[in-house]
Order: sequence, then structure tokens, then C-alpha cells
Amino acid sequence: MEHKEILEVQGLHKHFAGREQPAVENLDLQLTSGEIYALVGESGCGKTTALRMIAGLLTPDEGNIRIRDREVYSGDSMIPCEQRKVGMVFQNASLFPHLSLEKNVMFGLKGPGRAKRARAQLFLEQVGLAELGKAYPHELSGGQQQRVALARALALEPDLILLDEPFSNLDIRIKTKVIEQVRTILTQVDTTALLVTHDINEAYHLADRIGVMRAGSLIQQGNPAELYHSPADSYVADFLGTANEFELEELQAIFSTLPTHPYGAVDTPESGTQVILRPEDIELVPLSQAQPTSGESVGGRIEGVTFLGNRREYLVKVGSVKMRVSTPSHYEIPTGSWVQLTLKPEVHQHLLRRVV
Amino acid sequence: MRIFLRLFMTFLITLTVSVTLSAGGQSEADSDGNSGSGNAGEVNVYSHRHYEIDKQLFTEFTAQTGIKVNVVNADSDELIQRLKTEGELSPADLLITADVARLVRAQEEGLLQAIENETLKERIPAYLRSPDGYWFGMTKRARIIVYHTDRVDPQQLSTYEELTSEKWNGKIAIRSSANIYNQSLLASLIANLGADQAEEWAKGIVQNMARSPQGNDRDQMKAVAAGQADIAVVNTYYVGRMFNSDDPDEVEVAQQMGVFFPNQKGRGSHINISGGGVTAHAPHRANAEKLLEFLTSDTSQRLFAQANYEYPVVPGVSEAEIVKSWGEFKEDRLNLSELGKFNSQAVRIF
Amino acid sequence: MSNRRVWLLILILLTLLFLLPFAALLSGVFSSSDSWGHLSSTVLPRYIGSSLFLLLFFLFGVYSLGTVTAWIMTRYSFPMKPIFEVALIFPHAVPIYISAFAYRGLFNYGGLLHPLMPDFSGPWAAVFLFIFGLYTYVYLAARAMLATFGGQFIDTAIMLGKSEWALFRRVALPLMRPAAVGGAVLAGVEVLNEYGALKYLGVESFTTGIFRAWFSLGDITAAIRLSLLLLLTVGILLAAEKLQRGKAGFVSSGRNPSPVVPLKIRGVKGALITAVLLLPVTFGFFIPLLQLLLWTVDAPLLQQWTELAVITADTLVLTLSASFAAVSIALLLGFIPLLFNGGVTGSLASLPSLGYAVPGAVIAMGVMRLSISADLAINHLFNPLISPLRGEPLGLIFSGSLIVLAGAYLIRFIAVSFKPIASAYTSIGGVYVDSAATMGRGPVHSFFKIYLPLMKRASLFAGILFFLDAIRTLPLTMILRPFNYDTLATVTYELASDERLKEAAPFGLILVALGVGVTIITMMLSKGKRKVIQGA
Repeated sequence: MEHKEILEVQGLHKHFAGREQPAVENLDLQLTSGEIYALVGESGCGKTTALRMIAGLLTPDEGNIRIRDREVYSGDSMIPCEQRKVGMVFQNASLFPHLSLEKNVMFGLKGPGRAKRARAQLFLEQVGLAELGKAYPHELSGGQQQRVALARALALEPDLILLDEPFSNLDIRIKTKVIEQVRTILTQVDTTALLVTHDINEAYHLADRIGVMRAGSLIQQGNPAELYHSPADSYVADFLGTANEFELEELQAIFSTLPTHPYGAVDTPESGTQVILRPEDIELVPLSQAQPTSGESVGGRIEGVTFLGNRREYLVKVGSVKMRVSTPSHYEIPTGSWVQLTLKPEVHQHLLRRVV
Repeated sequence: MRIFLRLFMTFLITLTVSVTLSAGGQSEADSDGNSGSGNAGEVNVYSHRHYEIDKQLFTEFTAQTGIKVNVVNADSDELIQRLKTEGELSPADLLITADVARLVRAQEEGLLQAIENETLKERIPAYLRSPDGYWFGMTKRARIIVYHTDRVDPQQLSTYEELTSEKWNGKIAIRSSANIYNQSLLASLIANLGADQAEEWAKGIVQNMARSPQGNDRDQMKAVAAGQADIAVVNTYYVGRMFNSDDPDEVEVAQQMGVFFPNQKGRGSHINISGGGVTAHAPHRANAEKLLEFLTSDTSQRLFAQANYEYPVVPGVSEAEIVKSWGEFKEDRLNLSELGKFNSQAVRIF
Repeated sequence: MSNRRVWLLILILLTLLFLLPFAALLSGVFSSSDSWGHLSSTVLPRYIGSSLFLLLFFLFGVYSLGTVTAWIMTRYSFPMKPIFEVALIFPHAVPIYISAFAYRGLFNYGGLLHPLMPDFSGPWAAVFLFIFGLYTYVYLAARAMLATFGGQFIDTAIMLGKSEWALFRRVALPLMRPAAVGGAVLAGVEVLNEYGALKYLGVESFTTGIFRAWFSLGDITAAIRLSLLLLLTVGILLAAEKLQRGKAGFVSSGRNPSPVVPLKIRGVKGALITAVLLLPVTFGFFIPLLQLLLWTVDAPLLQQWTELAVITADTLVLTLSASFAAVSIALLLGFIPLLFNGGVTGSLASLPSLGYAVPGAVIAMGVMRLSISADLAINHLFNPLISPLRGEPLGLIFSGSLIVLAGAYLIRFIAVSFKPIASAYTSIGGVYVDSAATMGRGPVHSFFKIYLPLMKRASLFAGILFFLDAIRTLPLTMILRPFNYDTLATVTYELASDERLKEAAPFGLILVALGVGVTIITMMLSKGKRKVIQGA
């Protein structure tokens, strides 16, 4: 399959009147065919503004937007939303409440009624709701509504599907399931999709690639693992998951085996450099079961614990610093116990990149 | 959705029909005005008089002449403003008011035109029409004093001026000064006695009022019957109408009233007319004149007199029985246009 | 986006159209006035004094009556409650000028209640009529507020051992205040704008003053100045209301609805409550209705029936068409801001609603000036071409036509239909416009296919409210109506002010009956609405 560019955004800029900061600043994005990309960030970071500009619901101040081979926005020309061939699923599904599901899906279609109906049926089938065509939106669960909204968008065979926080109103219980269904559907029809969300877990579940936005700018993008293990800064690190943050010297003082010039890097990192350790990067063993210590291990005292179902996260005090360390969930160590911490070997491979 | 479309269509149709009707009505009027074919056209009347008898007479006029009479009924002040605003485009042909002052005002504002009509001149006495033919009286009424026959000795009554004397303190019922009839009465006092004395008089009347002014003349008589006041200042035809009312209560009220014509030993009782004038830009001037002639015919005059208990303006036409029973009286022969002249002064005094 | 500019243009043009008559009036403020000096030194203080008197006692009375009835209807359940549910709104269906003449007839010589009190007129009578005719403004607003948010507060206070009186005074009254004040202010605007009843009762006010200056003194400039003064007063009232509401909104915005569970009352207390509620229904509705019925039965009718039918039909055609136009325009006005995410367009769309604060006579004045200017312009432009063909000039086209009368209704009352429609738009939001756009459908499509069907109920509601206000409007109709044209309101008023009460009664009765019918429909509609929301 060719990896053709579907969406190309260059230098997108939007500054709302009366605001101090621009909402979106010099944003560049590329999505290739079939790719699912998640734009994540806190609310107010500009991700929805960016999405609305791509959709054509909002006029940018500057920049270029190309969808497939068409320039839909440049400084002097603008193709209106209606003609961009983008589909969009909104936060609250925005199914038309007075129309049956079938009619909802038919809404944007053109051509004779029978053809439209058949096509609507086809796409309702695609999202697994074939038998509900005559039902009305209020009879559906939130997840079903979002699937209909997706069917409605897909039925128009858009070049690009825009997903604006479509899962944020769903119950936690069903959220993952719905996301997975959506991912399956998107993959099946081989659509390019751009998701906007504040919830990194949605991005993990759905996206091939993630971009993190902050205060209007895209600060890092890449595949999920890359971002998780090699965040560009402590903000990204924190956004993608729990992170222990140290100064490099601090960490070296704790784990004495860490060489001062450790990672095969060419240059010695400057002093004051930040380093990040994920909770699962560290192995935790009660002192009673501890192996004879090498220089890689260090002792610490448990200050607190959070049970998270599939794991436990211990807050451990080592000397003057505290760090979060995760263990399998059956590990039960009383608070106040002394434990031995060891840096996992694979961590060394990441550490260099992890330097902020 | 479909319901909405249908509603929308209904609305459009209604709109179209009403536009067509109103436009049709106008164009019909326009073409009739000058075609002179079998259909004799129409005449547009702005009238303050909203009496049943007027409607009947208009119908009768149409039956006789084929000229359709279109009427807008409203307060004469409003009609004058409307005429003024409409200016040269006004569709009105005839302005009918219930008071001479309004006719004079319309004349002064340039809203009426002078008519040379021999029939009208001949039938209506000179003091009841404008010397230059701007307006013509249609009916005549006197503003008089009624008293409760049990409580008041008519010997005590004499003139309008005398109503301000101490003895009537808290005894007089009279309608609001905003009313034209009272304004014209005051105007006649200004004309006869001068502004200063008239102002004194107005103050004296306010002092002697039995209650704050309210309602129309009929109400004043009811107040007298109810014992709230002893005497009231009213127009003659109100007494006649109440006397002949379908409502037994009103008849009962009227039966307790005595009619007194003031100033009989001096200048006579204050009279006023209701009348009409042809408007300055009348599109159907000839028809308007015809209508005026019709309204001053003996038959019409008699009907006015019989149905509405007004005095005919045409000499020799007989009054209604009840009106006749009050007897002849001396009229204040002040030229009625004087009332108009002093109207705005009167309004300010009140 | 360029097609959105077209929408913006439509919005601006519509708004301008609504404001044009006011501009036509304003142009006359600065011309010289003969009688202004006289007016401002002598009668103006009187008008102000009288209007303030009315307003002060009215506001006090209407506030008390409205909040007490709202409290009783929310807090208690008693055997007759379902009846009062409807009956308490009925007084709203009786135009004030109609109850004015009914009461006067009642107390006049020969009237049923004449022996009790020989006279019914003056400012106190007016205050009485206004309170019992307009308390529904306060009652409905206060009740909605209390019933939605009062539950937890009342429960808390009960647990703290407060008496019923304390509950009302310390809990319910403060909670109802913003809504009640809002309702009272709207009712106050009605009082300031009333003409017919006040003239009939012999009470001077601003509005009668405007009429006097314009018509009796023929001084349009003075009339316009008076109207502006009145507008200013109304503006201050509304601004003050907005200010207090702003504070209240801050308090109640984050509050969760907490409905009041009514307390069952039987026996003596129940009878007492019923008696209290009977007062406004009796004074505001049954007494005038009974009087009208008595007169109607007694009236020398026969020949009047056809007239009655014709005038009723005329009135209905005019008012219904105007209502339909009002709803259509309100739908459009409310829709356009959705395309622009509100902001300036939102304020622009609500500008036409200003007409609600302007007395009917003032609007009539502006509309007449405007239509005459339009006619003059058309005549000057086209007469040279058309006159030779037609043999005479075009003459009046707009002036004195039903279209202009209906237009004046729109200007005066568009706010009434705009309000429910705008709030329905707000609750639906603009998301469907966006969502349709991403499906390749423009605003026109989403207006007709999505919003119109969704606005059905709100539109019907808006139409009904407009209808109720327009059908009874008096001075405006009297000034602008065409030849040979009467509405129920004008006939009723004219006959009544000529003291031909028995003849006036059937016309007034139909007006009241229409009002009652419409009120019942409205009640049923808003009931249904509640059910739908609960079901959703």
C-alpha cells in the first residue's frame, strides 16, 4: 500500500481576538493514508481549534492545509467545510434527534432514496448496528450513538475522518470497548483519521502516532512507545504516564554503578540535566529476599502504596528523594518496610534518549 | 417537517391574498374614481363619529348613489395626525369630527379645502359652517347642566360662570379636561370673557368637582343619580340617549335628571357641532361633496335627530320627542370657528 | 465562509428593518416643539408622579401576590390544586382594559356591586386591576425558580425546625427573589405601556401623556420626547433587573435542580389555602368574566352577531398571519448567530426585541412616518412613469395597509416570540450546523432539515405567546388600521369608552375566550415538554 500523504498542515496559526496567547501557533502536521493520529493535550491547548480549522469550521489566521491533493486553505483561498470531504464525529455524537438512525446516516448522502438507504444500511452494518436503522438516537447507549455518528461520517467516504473527543462522554466501563470497535472499523475501511483528546489512554488505544500539544504548539510527536520512553520534556513525560523525575547527578548518587559518562554518548551531559524513570523501570524486592547487593541496587523505605488492580505502585523513599515504583499486583509489602531497588537492565538503553 | 411546509405555504397564501385584497381594494378605488362607468366609485371617510346611525346612513347613501363609503373610525385628534402624516398621498376624502374645534384645527393645518357648494350653503345656517366652506355642521348639540330633580332646585342654576360659586362645592360631576367638549366650552368662555376669567373659571370648577374626572357624559349623570354629585355638565344627546336606552338602569338614571339650559338670560347656552370637511388632497372630492349633501338632506337630518337625539342643523327639521320636550332655548351665537381659535389656549388652561 | 457573509448581511438587514421606525422617530426629537415648555413645567411632573405612584404600589402588590401564590402552589398539595394549576393563569387572559370596563360597570349606577362602593376609578382602581391582571408574570417566574431549586433548602430548614412562615420568609422568598423581581419588572413595563385602561379610569400616565401631546396638542416633537423619557424609564427598570439577575445567576448557576416535594394539606388549612388562591382568580378572572357574560346575555344582539363573526375572523386572520411571520423571523434571527458562535451576532439578533419596551403608540407613530416616507419615495420615483398609463398617481401603497399593521405588531412583540425560540436554540446549540457541514450540507439545509423540525414546539409556543399579546393590542391598532377595519380589541374599547358596555361585552368576551383557550394550550404544551425532558 502506498504511503501517500492525506493531510498536510503547515504553519497553521490562529489568534482569537481578545486573547493574550495564540490558540494555535505554527502547527505542522502530516498524516499518511490509513494512519490514525491522535492530537493530545490539556483542554485549552489548541487541539480542538486546530481540528476545527482543518475541518473548515474555523478560519485560520495563517498557514496552509492540504487534504489529499487539494489545497483547502492557504492565506488567500479557502474551500468551505461542506466541500472538503472530511468527516467528523463530535463529542456528543450530534446525531439529529428527530431522525431515525438510518435517516441520520442518509443525511449527507446524495442520489435516489433507495441508493441512499442501501448505503446507510451498509455502513450501519459496518459499525454493527444493522438492525437498529429504524431506531432513534435517544434509544441508544452513548457508545452506540458514537458508532452511528462514525457510520454517518464514513458513509460519505471522506478523505479524512476527524474525531473530536468522541469518547470523553462515555462511561469508563465501556470506553475501551468502544474505542477498540472504532479502531477495528477504521482499520477495516482503511480510513485516515485524526483524533483529538485530552485522555492519553484513548490515544494509546486508537492511534498509530501521537502528537502532544501545549499552549498552542506541537511539542513532540511520534509513535506511542517512542513518546513514552523518550519524552522531549518533563511535560510530555508526565502527560504520557507516571514519571519519576531526577537531576542526572542525583540519580548517579543513588545508583552508584551508573557511570558518570554512561550511555555511550559522545558528549557528557551538562550538569542539571533532567532524567526520567518510569515506575516499571525499577525492580523492587523486600530486603528479606534481597540478593547480595551490587552497586546497582540501593535500599529504600516504603512510604505508601496504591493498589491499581493489575499492579501496585509503591512510593519509596531513597535517601532524600522519593520515587514511584510499580510491582506486580500480588506483591504486598507493608508500609515502613525496607526494600531493595534495582534499575532494570533494559533501562540503560533508553536512558540516553531520556535525558531532557 | 411537512406540517411546517404546509403552515408556511398557508402563511404565504394568506399573505398573498391579503396583499392582493388590499391592493385590489385600492386599485378598484382608483379606477372607479375616474372611470365614471356604471359603478360610481367610492368615498373615503375619516370619522370620529362611531354611531350606528352613521353606518346606516352610509349604507343608504351607497344604495342611492352606488358610491361605496369606506370608513376609518378613530379619535378626531388621531385622524388629524394621520391626515397630516399622510399628506398629499392621503386617501381620505372627508373628515368628520364630533367637535368644531377639531375641524378648525384641521383647517388651520391646511388639511381641508374650501368647497363652493350652493346646496350646503343654502341648507346650513351660516354660523354653523365655516365662512369659507372648509367645513360644514352636520348635527348640533348644546352643552348643558343636568341636575337631580329631588336634590336641586333649578331656580338655583343660572350660568356656566355661576357653577364656580361656593354653593356647588363638591357637587359637580364633569368629565376630563382632555375631552373636546369641555375644551370647546372653555374656549367659548375665553372668547366671551377673556382668558384670565376663563382660567379662574376652570380653577373654580376643579375646586367644586365631586370626584376626579372620569368616564363620559353618561357616567356623570350616573354619578348624579348615585348621589355622588348633584349636578353634571353634559351634552344634550347623552340625556336623550339615556332616556331612551334599552337598559332600564339608564332610563332610571335619566328620569331623575332635570335639564337646564344655562345663560338663557345672557349670551345663550354653549353649542357645538359635529361636522365634516373635504380634505385638501381628496381623491374623490365630488363624491365627498355628494355625501355631505346627503347627510344634510331632510331625511338624514331627521334620522340623526331621531336616532341620536342631536339637534338638526337644517332649520325646519324636527327634533326627537324627548329633545322637543326640553323646549326651545337660546343659543350662544358665537361664530363656531372662534372655538377652534381658542382651543389650544383652552387645552393649556386645563 | 463567504456564504456566511450573506447570512450576516441578512441579519443586519433584518435588524435594521426593525430599528428603522425608531430612527424615523428619533429624527423628530430635535425639531422645535411649541408645547414642550408648557408640558414639562405643568403636566410632566404630574405624569411622572402618577406613573410612579402606580408603579410603586403595583410592584409591591404584584410582588406579594405573585410570591405568595407561587409559594402555596409549590409547597402544598391540596384537594383543589389541579384546578388552580390552570385557573391561576386565567387572569392573564383578560386584557386590563376589559377588566377595567367590567369593574366600572359593576360599581357604576345600576351595577351589581354599586351599593358596596359607588365608584370604581382613579389610581387605586388602576393599581387593583394591574395587580390582579398581571401577577401571573411574578407567579410563573417565581414558581418555576422555587419548584426547581427549592427542595434541598426547604428540607434543610424543616430539619432545623423552622415554621412554615419562616420557611416562606427566610428560605422561599430569598430564593424566588431574582425570578420574582424579573417578572415584576416585565409586568411594570406593561403598566407603563398601558393606555386603554388608564384612559378609561381617568388616570394620567406617561402613555396617556404621549397621546395627549401628540393628538390634543398636535405636537409630535413633544410626544417623541415624552416617549423617549418613558423609554429611558423602562430602560432603567430593565437594566436594574439585569443587574440583580446577574448576581442571582452567579448564585444559582452551579446549583443542581432539586425539586420541592409538596406537603399534603387537608381540612381547615386546606380550605384556608383554597380561599387565598381564590382571591386572585376571582378578582382577576371570574368577576370580569361574569360581568361580561351577564352583559352578553342581556345585550341587544341579533344584528351584532354577523358583525361579531366578521370582526372575529378579521382579527384572527391578521393576528395569526402576524404570529406566523413573527415566528418565522424569530427562527431566522435566532439561527444566524449559531453560524458565528454568538458574540456580536447574538446581540445583533436580540436588538429587535427592544420594541417590547416601547409603547404601542410610539411604535405606531414611527411605523406610520416610515411607511409614508416609503410611499412618498415610491410615488416620486414611479409616478412620472406610471401616472400617464394609469391616469392617476399611485397613492398610498404601504400606509394604511394590513401589512404595515402586521409589521407594527412584529416590531412591538417580536421579543415575545424571540425569547422562547432563542432559548431553544441555545439548548440545542450550534453543533448540528457544524455536523451538517462536515457532511457536505450548508446552513440552509441544516436550518430547514434539522433546526426547523427541532424547533417545532418552541415555535408553536412562541407563536401562541405572540398571538396572545398581538390580539389585544389597542392603541397601535387604532392608529394604523386600514379603512373599514376593526379588531376585537378596537371594537371592544370603542364601544366601552362610549359606555355602550352591553354591546361591547360580546367582543370582549370573545377576546377573553381566545385568551383562555390559548392559555390552556400553552399549559398543555409546557406540561408535555416536561414529560419529554424526563423521558429523554
